[in-house]
Amino acid sequence: MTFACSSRPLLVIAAVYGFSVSLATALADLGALGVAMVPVVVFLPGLLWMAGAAGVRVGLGALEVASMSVALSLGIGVVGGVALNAAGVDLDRSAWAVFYLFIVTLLAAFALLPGRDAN
Amino acid sequence: MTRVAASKPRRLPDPLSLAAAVAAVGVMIVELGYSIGRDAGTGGTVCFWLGQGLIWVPLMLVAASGHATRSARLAAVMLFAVAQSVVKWLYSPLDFRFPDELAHQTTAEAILRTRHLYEANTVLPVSPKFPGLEIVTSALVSTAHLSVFTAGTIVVSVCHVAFAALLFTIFCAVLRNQRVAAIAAMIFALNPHHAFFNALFIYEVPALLFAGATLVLSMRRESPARSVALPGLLCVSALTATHHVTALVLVGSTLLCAVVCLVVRDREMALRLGAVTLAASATLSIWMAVVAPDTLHYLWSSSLNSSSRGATHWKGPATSPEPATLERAVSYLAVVVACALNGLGMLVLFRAHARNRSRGNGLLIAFAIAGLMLFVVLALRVVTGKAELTGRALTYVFLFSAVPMAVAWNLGLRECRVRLAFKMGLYAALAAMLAGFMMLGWPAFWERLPGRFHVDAFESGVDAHGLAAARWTAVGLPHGARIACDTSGCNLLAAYGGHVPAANMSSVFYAPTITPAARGLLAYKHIRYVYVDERMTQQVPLTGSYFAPDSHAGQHVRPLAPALLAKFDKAKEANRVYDDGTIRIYDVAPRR
Repeated sequence: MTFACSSRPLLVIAAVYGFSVSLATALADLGALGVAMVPVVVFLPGLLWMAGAAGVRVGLGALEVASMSVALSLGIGVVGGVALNAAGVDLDRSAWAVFYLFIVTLLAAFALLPGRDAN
Repeated sequence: MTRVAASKPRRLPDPLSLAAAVAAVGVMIVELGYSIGRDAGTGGTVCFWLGQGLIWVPLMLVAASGHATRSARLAAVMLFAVAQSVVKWLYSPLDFRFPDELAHQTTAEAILRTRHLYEANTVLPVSPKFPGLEIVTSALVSTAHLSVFTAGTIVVSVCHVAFAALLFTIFCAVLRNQRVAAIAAMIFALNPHHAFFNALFIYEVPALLFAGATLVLSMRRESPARSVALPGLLCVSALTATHHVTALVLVGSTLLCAVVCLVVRDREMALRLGAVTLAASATLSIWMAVVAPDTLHYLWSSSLNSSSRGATHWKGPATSPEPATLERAVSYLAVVVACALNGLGMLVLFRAHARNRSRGNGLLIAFAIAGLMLFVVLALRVVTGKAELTGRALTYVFLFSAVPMAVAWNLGLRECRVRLAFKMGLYAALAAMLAGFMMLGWPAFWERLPGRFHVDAFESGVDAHGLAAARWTAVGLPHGARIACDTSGCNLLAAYGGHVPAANMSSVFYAPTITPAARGLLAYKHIRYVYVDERMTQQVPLTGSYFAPDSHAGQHVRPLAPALLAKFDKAKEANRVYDDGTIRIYDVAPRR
């Protein structure tokens, strides 16, 4: 098994990203509409770059790694949403948590998805 | 001393880049066709088909090329999915219009409004019980302050494209040949509903992604079983909470593959797929027992009541227009080509297995056996006339039959490499499948180009009048009001107004006056408002029905008599609260 890239910087970025999303959500709730999109726009090129880097290092291919990561991150978003609702949590107030969950999963999946050597 | 200029070899453009550029031009030409359609001009249909050809041909050439890298093939497959998503978005770039999209928008709006799941949806009652699509969409809406349309379009487009990549990976695992896998992925994308229907805002789209991810995790032998168990369970759980039919198909298909792998002594794969079958069965059973107990009843009644909407080439509603003879011929040709390729591919795979060439690859044999479903579904289509049901089933059938089809097509290409005419014939056969299955799929031919309004006819039954009225009701009427309306009006009022459309109200519209019986029905169903679209007196519904359900379904040979709708103006108990000259809304609550 090979690893796409080191998980440490990715998790740091995930944390920064999560805090940014949380902060931006709070700003948006205060009326600064559109601010919530800032971290998405800022970090999207980073995500794409990481997908490319991951694909170079594993045989699965950058696009396949990205697609699998998307599937896993949306999956955790769905399961997280169902779990939060079952716990009686307000889904609107916890939307950032669902969003954060799938962003972290996306990044973790980039880092940890096993692949085969490129040939 | 003479200086000899070194001649640099001319670098040809990268085939993938060239194909991407041509495909982008194709998308632009399709949009030109759509613009012509909106302006009611001529030549829009020609632009549509020319654009579709420019999208498909270069990407298919890259996918099937003998020299392309694995990444280039995958990129070609994904670019085709990107083009499909963009074309679908261009069809209606500002609003959802397809009835199922509006039903899921209703569920998403309910989650955003109540901040919890499972709020009842009278338009599609099963939708809130499988809220995966709406959970992700509403999270994006809440976090990024996007509209449901924008967030939903992003979610389904990402799912559609990511699924294409995972499908290629699945076919690589099954075929162990990246070139044939790319051909199979491109052939899958030709199935009647994939280009448009499977790019809509409907729960099947993320479900296909979750099912694809589950199959990738279970079928890739390179990934140790222990390391994929947790992600696999996650995908199965998400699939269960997203779409019933896809979850059932996953259970059935993994069971079939596991049994076949066991028979051909591929024990490792049999165990992996058996575990997926068990996990999917368990989660689906629990979900259907706890959250969605009426799912099986819904599926059974849906299959019985499934309409012949969609393709009308074989047997449609009596009021449906007939497609052009050429269109009919191409769609028949597509079916013949698909059956021929599927049958030939199955024969090749079974013979190869009999000669022990592929012993041990249980997946390949399982996919070949599952390819039989293509013949079964097409036979059902002819016998029962249920275009909607069988059309949707073909998405799942092509998941398997694309493999034998690709094997047969590739064999033809390999055997006849030197004969250009035959090679072009093979590409032409697939082009016929592309065109023919698009004609059989969605949208129906009378609304292939946007712009022309057809009363109560799916996408083309929604226009600016309906949207404006529905949006007005969101602020002008009390939330959750019960309304009697025609099919398109009901879909819009639920999605944009947050109201509750009442079923079985067609008798109120067909009565010559507001009779005591009609008055009693309005009171019994607690109807507060009646929504009237004047165009019901100008057009016959191409779908055969004005209402859902319609007591006169399939019997309309002329539009409704104007007096049937004018009666609301004359009735003392009806107070007109909205009128834009085309759509009127009456308050029919009893006066005290």
